[in-house]
Amino acid sequence: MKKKEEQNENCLYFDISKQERDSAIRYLLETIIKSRNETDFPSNYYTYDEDVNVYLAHLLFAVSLPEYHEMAEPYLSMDTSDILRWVRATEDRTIRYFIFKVNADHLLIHSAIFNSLGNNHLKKIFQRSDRHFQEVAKLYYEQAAAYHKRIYRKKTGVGDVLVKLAHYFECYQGVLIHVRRQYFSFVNSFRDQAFDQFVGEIKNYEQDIQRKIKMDRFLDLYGKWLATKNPIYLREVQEVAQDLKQLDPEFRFDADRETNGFGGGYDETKCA
Amino acid sequence: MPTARRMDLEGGMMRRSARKYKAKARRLLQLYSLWQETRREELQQKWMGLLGEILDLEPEFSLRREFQNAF
Repeated sequence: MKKKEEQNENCLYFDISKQERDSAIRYLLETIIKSRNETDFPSNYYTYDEDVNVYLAHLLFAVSLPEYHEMAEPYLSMDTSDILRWVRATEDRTIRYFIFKVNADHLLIHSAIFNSLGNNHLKKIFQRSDRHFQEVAKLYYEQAAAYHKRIYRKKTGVGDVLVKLAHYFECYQGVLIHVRRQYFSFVNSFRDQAFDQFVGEIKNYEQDIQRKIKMDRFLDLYGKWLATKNPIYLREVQEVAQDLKQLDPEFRFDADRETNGFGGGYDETKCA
Repeated sequence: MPTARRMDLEGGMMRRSARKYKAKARRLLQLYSLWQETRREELQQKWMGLLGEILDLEPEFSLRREFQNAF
């Protein structure tokens, strides 16, 4: 138990259901399609590219998750020489593909969504232009597509997307710039999801405890009423039964049956 | 006031220095994360206990930011 807890220290788990994940990606996809229409670059404008919309929606969603950053961080650099050095240092095509892809995605997202490339004011003289980053990102996407093709030895959906991103990089960058505001509003609400769920868990826990306490009280009073037939107890039983019904709408207690002499008017199955 | 309501109201507010509660909050998040994975009842008791300790020490401590950073 302790070991398991220690293992999980740096890897926190939040139960995002498949439904929530799908719903988030669907929202991002709709936002991208809407933005494409608004930026005069609708889907399938130059070529069939609905697959790129799906890729971008998944990418935006991934970027909103901390684990994506943990995974990508060690392979990211703004310096092309670093990238080339890392690529040369390995013979593994999958790692080479990953390095190019993750850096291309990084340039796309950071130039379009975060607008955080070349923001180092201290080094303004050496600042690289937007055009420079665009060209580098295109090159990375081309390389990623090439390595992807070598890995799978056939045409693949992801390979096609990477080629399209390389060819029409500026257009997709423009779409993502347009998506920026909706993306941040999505991220803000999505980032609160774990906390909102946590608050919900506490509410459920408190309600459960309250229900158990009320049920104990109810059974105690009901037992006294059965033993003594004292109407004071019946009145109290009715009051507690009302409270219980509010906490658990399925709880049933028939007071009329009690007063008319038909005992056992509560649903025992709900007392567990 | 019920704890959940308190948490709701306090979400997003972190006015005082929270450094000394960070360790407890981090532990709470770990236990909560493990509980999310396993749904083991004793873990829920543990993280609930820690939550109580944190709120007793600092009623204005906000876990919202901790959650935003962690998940």
